Amino acid sequence: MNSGTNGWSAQVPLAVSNQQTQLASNVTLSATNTYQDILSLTLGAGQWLVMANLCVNRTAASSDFEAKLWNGTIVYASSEVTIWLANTPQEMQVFAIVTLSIATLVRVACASSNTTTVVQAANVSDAAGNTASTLTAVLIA
Amino acid sequence: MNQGFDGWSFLPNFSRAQMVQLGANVNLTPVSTYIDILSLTLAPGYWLLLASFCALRTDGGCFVEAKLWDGTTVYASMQSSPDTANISGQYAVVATALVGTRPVKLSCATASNVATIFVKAAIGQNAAGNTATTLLAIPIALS
Repeated sequence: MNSGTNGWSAQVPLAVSNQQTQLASNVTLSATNTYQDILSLTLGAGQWLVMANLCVNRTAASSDFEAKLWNGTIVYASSEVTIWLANTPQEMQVFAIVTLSIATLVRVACASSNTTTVVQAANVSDAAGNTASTLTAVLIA
Repeated sequence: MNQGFDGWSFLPNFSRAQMVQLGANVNLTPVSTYIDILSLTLAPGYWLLLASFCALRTDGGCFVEAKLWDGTTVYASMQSSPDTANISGQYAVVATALVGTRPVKLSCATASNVATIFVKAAIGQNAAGNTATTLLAIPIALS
C-alpha cells in the first residue's frame, strides 16, 4: 500500500476524472407518470460517485415528483418529493456509487403525477444562472 | 508509485467505497427516538459520507430528524417539517468524518407523536425499486 504523510494513504486516483452537465433550459414533463431523461453523461469503465440534483416546480397546484438515476435499465437511486402549492419549487437529489464494466450512458430521469410540471434550469426566483439542475460524476476507482 | 501533492500518495484503481440501500420501510416510533436505518462498517480513516432518505407521513404534518453517527459521535444532522399529509420528502445528510472501528449509521427520528411516519425503501409512485434510501461512503484517507 502506498503511504502518505503521517501514515495515511489517500484513496483517490492521481488523475481524478470528473464530468458534469447542467440543464440549459426548462424541461416540461409532458406525459404524466412517465420518466423523462433530463440529463445524461457517458461514463467510462470504473467506479463512479454519481450525484444529481433537480429543481422541480408546478405552476398550477400540488404534485408529486419522482427522480431516478439509471442506465436505462438498472436504477441506482431514486427520490420523491411533493410540491403542495403552486410555484413552490423543491430540490431533489439522488446519488449512488456506480460500477461500470463498459462505457455507459448514465442518466437522471424525472416523472410527475400531473401536467404543468417542470424541471427547472434555473431557480424560479433569485436567479443564479442555469445551474439549478445538475448531474455530476467523479471517478473513484 | 504515483506521488501527489504534499507527500501524499495516490492509489489508482483502488477503492473501498461502499453503499447500502434500505430493503423495507421503517416506522419511526416511538416518538423522539432515533431508529437506526442503515449502517456501514468501514475501515478506520477519513471518509466522505452521504445519506439520502425518503420520508412520509400519511395523515398530517410532522417533524423528521436524521443524524449520521457512530453511536456516539454525530457527524451531521438535519431536520425538516413537511406541513401536511402525504408530502413525500427527500432529505440528505453529508459529512466528512474520521471514522473509528464502530459502524457508521444513518438514524432517523420524529418529534411528532404518531405512528404513521415512515422512512421509505421505495418511492410511492412511478416505482424505481428499493433505491429511495441510501447510505454511501467514499474513502478519503485510510490509516
